[in-house]
Amino acid sequence: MSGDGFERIDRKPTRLSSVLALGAAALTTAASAYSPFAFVPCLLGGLVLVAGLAGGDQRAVTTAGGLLVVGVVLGGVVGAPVAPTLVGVTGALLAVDLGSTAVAVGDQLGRRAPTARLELVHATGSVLVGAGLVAGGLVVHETAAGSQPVTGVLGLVVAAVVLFVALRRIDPVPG
Amino acid sequence: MNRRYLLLALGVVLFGVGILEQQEPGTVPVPAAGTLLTGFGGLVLLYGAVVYLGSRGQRLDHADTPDVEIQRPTRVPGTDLDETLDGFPGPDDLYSNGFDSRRRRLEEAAVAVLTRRRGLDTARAREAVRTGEWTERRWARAYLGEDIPEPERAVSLARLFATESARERSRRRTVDAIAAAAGVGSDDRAVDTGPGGEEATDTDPELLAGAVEAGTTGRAGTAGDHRRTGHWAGVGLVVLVCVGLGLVLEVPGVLLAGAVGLGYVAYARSTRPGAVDLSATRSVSDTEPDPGDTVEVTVTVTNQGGFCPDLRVVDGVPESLSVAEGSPRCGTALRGGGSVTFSYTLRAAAGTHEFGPVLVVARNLSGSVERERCLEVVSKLRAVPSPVPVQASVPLRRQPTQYAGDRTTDTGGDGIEFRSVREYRPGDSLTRIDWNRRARTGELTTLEFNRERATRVVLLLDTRRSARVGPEPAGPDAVTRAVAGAQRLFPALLDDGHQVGIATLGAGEQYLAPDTGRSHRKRGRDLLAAGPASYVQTSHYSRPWYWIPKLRARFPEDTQLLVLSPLVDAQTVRIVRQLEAYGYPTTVISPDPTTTETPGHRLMGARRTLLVSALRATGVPVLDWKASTSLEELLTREVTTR
Repeated sequence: MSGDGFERIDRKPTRLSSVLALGAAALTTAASAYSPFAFVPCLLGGLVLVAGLAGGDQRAVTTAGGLLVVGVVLGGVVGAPVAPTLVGVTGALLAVDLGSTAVAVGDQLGRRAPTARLELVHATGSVLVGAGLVAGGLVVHETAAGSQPVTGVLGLVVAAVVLFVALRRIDPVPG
Repeated sequence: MNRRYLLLALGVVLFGVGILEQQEPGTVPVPAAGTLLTGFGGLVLLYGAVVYLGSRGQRLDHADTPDVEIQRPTRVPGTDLDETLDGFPGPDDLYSNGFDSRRRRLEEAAVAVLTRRRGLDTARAREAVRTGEWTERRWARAYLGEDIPEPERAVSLARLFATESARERSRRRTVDAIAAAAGVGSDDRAVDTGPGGEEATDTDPELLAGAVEAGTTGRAGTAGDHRRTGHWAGVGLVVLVCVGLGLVLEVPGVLLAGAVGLGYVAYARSTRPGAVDLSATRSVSDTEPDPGDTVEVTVTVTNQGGFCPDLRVVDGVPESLSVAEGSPRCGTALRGGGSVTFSYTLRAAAGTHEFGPVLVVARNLSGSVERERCLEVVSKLRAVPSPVPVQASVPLRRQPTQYAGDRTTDTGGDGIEFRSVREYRPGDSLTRIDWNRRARTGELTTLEFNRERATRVVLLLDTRRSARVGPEPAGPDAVTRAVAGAQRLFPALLDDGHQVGIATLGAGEQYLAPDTGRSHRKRGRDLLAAGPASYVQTSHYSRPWYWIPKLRARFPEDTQLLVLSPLVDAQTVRIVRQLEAYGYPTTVISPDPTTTETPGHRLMGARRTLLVSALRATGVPVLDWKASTSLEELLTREVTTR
């Protein structure tokens, strides 16, 4: 009856997480600035991310993350140092994580609802995990930087893959 | 279960051995060569390919939330062309012939319009459609006729990018031509030329079809289960690609990037959703507002369990109300014992409105799992309108009862309005003897007046699901208008001295026997004040032959019916005809739910026009109540044209 208030809600991605996701993508792009092979895919990924977040398209956000990772890996292959590579890949994963959060929260709650607290808590969790991982990776790299016995590396890598397979089988859904 | 932890333990042991070997080369007596590493890298890449192929179809998934901000949109009749054609009356019968192709059904519709509106017989009408002489519109003639060439197609840019095919365009023009032949929406549109005819509504098709969930009531069924969101899907692939490439190309940075991905996989897999124990309360600033007032609603959600990092809350706004300001949604994180409060304002509409449960979607910290919960909170809002009785006389059918009243009948007797003069008969009242004539001529004559007598009326409201239609999604549906009309007709009819009752079409439990008096007036008002929301059919008996006998058993003798129905289907017309045939003089006040927005909607208007005229043909007066007309205007016009 009231003509006003009959607008369906704006289900676009929320602003805070979108901005944070773009920040993460910018970090990755900056970390890949030493090589054009790395920089171009990252820049492309950033643009796709902007488009995905503007339109609320989850697939574009995922694609953008993929492009960012490709950029970082290419950079690493052509000889980037370890620290930018680690920061870059973390930024790429964070961009997907925060971008997907923006899309999901926007779709479920819309832009008008107060959601800052939820988004900040989620972003803090992901960023802390990322920072810890980068720090850990750098420590491992430093300690192993000298002599690299092949057996040791193989042991570490096999351990990582076994852990990965084990984790893939763990289901966070209880019961 | 056990294997997974065995793998986990193996991984940790290998990791330790690897670290040891790094520090003290030669501890492990296994010789390893660089080619072994490269080979292993290749295997990992292969595994990555397998994982990628296995997860290609997966998509990120999250719970949908209903559009609680808006009231449930009114379905606009005619949005679905097939449905309109299904219920289109045939040329000879109220029901259509059930042809399967759209072209055949459109042809039948055109024939029906020609026979019923232009008075052609069926054979002539068929001939006219075949030869194309039924309309001036060339595309429609070509679409339905035989061997009529299509007009030349002008090539234009707009047509190149049009979303509909040539066939669809022809069909739409035919639909438009049929509606125009029935006299619906025949404004001077550029029909055959260019994109002038390419009109489409910009209203959301979901809203037009009324297919939008506007409350949380239906959600209880899906709530409760944990669900994987796939939020971190794809990270596994990053791990395998990085590790594989790192090994094959011997780049430590890329190898370690794989380790970072592995950390995120662990994060996604290990954070548990936790035991979510929530409760909610809701306070409404005014539970009995006047219609049109704004009401503030405050919702508080309290966490009685452990830390909830991610809560998405949607309040169950009544489907029949819309939010005026603020948002009935909130996203937050709550530690144990914490609570969150949010508020918004509603605009109250007439009727009783029940809130649905509060919908909560809880996620774990990494966002990999979510769980939907419905928190039952009972609140009600009741806005009782104070209707003004209709300021016009209600056009009832002429029918006497033994009670004195206002209704002019066709029999002579006491009254005010002069009717005739007749010879004096013993027993005539002295006051009715024409004394002037007696003085002039000496004859004794008696004056006859139109007798004014009361009538027994039952307001019969069509509240079936099929009547929940209206001309615009945001506007009131025909049931709402019927109830609002009944609220004003009921006291007006009582004021005129009639006995008035209330009933609904269908097997509904709402019934008030015709009566008069103050307490009856109050009962009727309360019954109608409950609003259309409480009239939703709950009975299984949707077939009229179940409930028509029950309805008839309730009506007293000499009752006339005032049916309030949108008359959108042939079945309703048949029901009204049946009631009339059973001896209840029936009048229909029909809130018009059709619109002229698109050709499909106009065809629906044409269908209703045919149904209304079919009903009028049997002698039942039908008052066509347009959305823009007030009830007074409608009734006054009816009385003056009679």
